[in-house]
Amino acid sequence: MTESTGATITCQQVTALLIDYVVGDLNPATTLVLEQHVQNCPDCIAFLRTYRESIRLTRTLRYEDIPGDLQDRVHAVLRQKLTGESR
Amino acid sequence: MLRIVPVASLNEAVSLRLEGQVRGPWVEELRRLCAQVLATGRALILDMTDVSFMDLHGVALFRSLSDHNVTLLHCSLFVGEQMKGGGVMRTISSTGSVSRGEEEHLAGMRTADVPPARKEKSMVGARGGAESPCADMTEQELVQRLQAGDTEAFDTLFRQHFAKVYRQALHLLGTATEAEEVVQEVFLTVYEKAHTFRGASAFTTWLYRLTVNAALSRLRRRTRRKEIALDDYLPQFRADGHHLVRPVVDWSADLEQCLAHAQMQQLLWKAIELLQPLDKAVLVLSDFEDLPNREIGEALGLTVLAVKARLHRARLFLRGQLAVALGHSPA
Repeated sequence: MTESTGATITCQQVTALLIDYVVGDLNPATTLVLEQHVQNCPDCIAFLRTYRESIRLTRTLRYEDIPGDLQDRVHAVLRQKLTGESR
Repeated sequence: MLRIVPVASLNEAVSLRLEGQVRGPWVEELRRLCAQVLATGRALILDMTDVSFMDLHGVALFRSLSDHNVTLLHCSLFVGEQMKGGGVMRTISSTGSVSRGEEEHLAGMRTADVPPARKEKSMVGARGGAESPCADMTEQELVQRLQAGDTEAFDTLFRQHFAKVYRQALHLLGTATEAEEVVQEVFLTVYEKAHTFRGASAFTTWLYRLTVNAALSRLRRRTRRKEIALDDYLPQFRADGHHLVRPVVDWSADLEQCLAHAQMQQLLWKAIELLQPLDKAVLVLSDFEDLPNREIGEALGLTVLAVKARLHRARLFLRGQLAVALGHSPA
């Protein structure tokens, strides 16, 4: 249980702070105020969870592996261009 | 281009001043001239004061000339480092004394025997092939050698950073063809503009900046699709700061039950495509590349605060897209 700081913030302010909160970049005092609000606000609890889940899912996105011959192919093109320019 | 200016021709020696870059066909031209002079039995003095660059063939030529009666005058530190690069030359004088390579290394090498294919080999063998002398160098050393025109250093840097640059471009542009073009563009710029890199930031930061800028430039040129109102997917608030639509639904546990993984990924990709180019770049660098906000700011020319603001907006937008796809309000 956290102690009350007496300070309050709104849902809108909580939302604005989430980018720092989810990576632990908020200072302790602000973290305390934010958490006191969230504990008593079902809307912000839901918003925080869905915000985190969105980030997690975004971070799972990746394009397929790089084709095996691509590096050699690009390199060959570069070589052609570079040697062509030196002529 | 290389200008070869006769300075003096005495009985014992011929002096030529070289101005410009010893590269490409000029290497052969210079070799031919040097061979003509040396064939007369006279000494040759090459004034290198105004040589700004030499390619590998040029380096090989000067190394082979050092085994003859040739004096290299006023080599700049830059050119001297280039020639020392392969570990062959012991000294390149900047004061006018004779430059000699290590005898055993140069023994048998004649002016007409300049190895022609070093550059080709180094560039072809970039992918896990023959061990490059650059393989164990630090990034700083590689960049210095690249700035001196060393293509082996270029190969090594290409090999080290290709995958990252390609993925970054692919994530930003979404098409393999364009990503490949950006990779070419970036590494050509790296080779040609290496001299403009001052080392104020890390080489990788410079590289990412080139990549992102090349990709952003393409994104901005693309025909704008039907504009979507981003605000429609961002949370809205009442005047007192509460969520406009209440209750906010917690769909975090339902998402993967309601949408197949591939479906959800496709939805997110489409949503990312709708972001403004700069917001998309920030999101990609942060959530795909795991770059810290400071580095993202350096790459994009944004303050850390601006990076965070754009990243937050992009994430809120993606969250809103997911919410709407599940039949809820973005709140």
